[in-house]
Amino acid sequence: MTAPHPPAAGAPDRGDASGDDDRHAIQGPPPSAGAAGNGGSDEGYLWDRSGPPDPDVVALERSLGVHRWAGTLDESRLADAAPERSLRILAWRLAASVLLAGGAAAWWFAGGAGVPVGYAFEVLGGSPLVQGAAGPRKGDRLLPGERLVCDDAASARVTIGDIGSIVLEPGTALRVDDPAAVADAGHLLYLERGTLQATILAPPRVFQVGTPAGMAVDLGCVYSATVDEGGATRLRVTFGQVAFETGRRHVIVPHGASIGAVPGRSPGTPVWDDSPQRYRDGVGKLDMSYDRIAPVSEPALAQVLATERRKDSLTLWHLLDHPDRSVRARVFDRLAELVPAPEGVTRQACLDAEPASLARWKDEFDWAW
Amino acid sequence: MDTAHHGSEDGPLVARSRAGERPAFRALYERHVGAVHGVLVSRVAPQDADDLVQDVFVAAWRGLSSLRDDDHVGAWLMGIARNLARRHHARARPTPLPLADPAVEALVDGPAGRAADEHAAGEILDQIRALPEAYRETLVLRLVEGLTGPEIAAATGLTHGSVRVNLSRGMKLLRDVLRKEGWP
Repeated sequence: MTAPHPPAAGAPDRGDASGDDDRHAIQGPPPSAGAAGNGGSDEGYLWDRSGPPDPDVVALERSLGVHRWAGTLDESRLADAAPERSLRILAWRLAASVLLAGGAAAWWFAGGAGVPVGYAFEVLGGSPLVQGAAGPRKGDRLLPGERLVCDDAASARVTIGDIGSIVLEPGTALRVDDPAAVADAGHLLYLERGTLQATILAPPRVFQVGTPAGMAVDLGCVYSATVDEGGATRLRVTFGQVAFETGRRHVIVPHGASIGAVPGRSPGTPVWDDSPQRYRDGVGKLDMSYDRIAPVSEPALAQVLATERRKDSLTLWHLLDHPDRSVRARVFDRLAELVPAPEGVTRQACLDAEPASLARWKDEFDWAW
Repeated sequence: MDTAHHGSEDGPLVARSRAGERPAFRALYERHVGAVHGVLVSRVAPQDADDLVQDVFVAAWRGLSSLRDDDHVGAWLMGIARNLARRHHARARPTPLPLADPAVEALVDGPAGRAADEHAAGEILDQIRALPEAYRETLVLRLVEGLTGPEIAAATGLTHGSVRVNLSRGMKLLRDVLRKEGWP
């Protein structure tokens, strides 16, 4: 084999790949089609077989050609793999849209986001107390600034205008706040402790519940929120989606998933409720590294990245906001394996937490959440 | 195998495939399987690449709804192939016995000569896989799958200039390493 002349001087540099990352982009002054690249042989043959055959290229073609693809498509496997946008999912989305539209209409006809003058409630058990400025009282209406307290034997259902209701379980304390304090909120409550079950059909963000660990923002859904004595909050969604927001981090919790959150720290990463406990533990350990409370646990990260479930894109996508760039890079690579990033969404943009790119990628899979 | 890779002709096939038409998906397969296989061979052993080709198209069949630009289905498929190859590497796999082992050769279909040819080809592929990524994928598409430079550009979305550079420099590097290995 004769040694070829280099086609261009200098080390390879990055080029102009139109793809989504830097994998192909070695660029430099292109050699001309007729340039001698092999001690006199014409690179036209290497390019498009147009020139005199290059003996080396011909030999390699002949040798490597044994591995050229010669198979056929195994269509039996297609039969087992129905397209994912199934009628079931479309039906679910349609139903959700109808319900949300209905809720939005009801909310509109009820007077929109005007400041509520209070909430009626019914006693489901025991003797819930209303605690106002004048001290504890009994009654069936809860006014702004007041608290509804259910002891260990009491429970109550609070009607939230025309958009739904919440049930307070025994051991729960709920406060009514002024919704004007939060943008977009039409109803603003604060769960001090205990558990509430919310069933709300309203436009996104109209119904918001504060907790010691962050704000649960209704996106049209059914969910439960539990606050323990230390203020730690657990949110579990059974229909629709809820956003959980703090100044440090925003997460989205779809139906079938839950999060944990601790006061003063970033809220946890959403995890599907049917995830194995080991996976949940791994996510929990990673969450500890968000606020530098603990270093990144390599075993935990490996555990999380090892998922083979496409639906765990929920967890992985959220981890793209991890403060450690090296973690984001590994999460990106794994998520891209499960759900390829759409064209135009680059690795660099995602590692830089560029919102539009992250949102575009999420659009690729969140319809199935 | 059709290696024309006309993106604008892919759109209608994608739309029909998305509606569940197998013949349209088969046509997409015929059009792009060479490039997909080349991407895989540039990253994994050929026998594994053959298996992964099926995985790529099954994944594509399932995920067609997520494809935003129907005319770029080729680049999308190659992206799936790269991802599956990466995942394949992430799994612990036993090292295959070398074909030169007589016990293994006896298991190979066909005459011993074919096994020897594959062994030689495997050694060359090993050298190609040791090259920088841009070179290895381009070289495999050219030397294994038989695509021309313009066809590689159309399949990958790279410019003609980039493909030409990758082919030329990759070929130079390959010649050098093979010469050191005593290749004739």
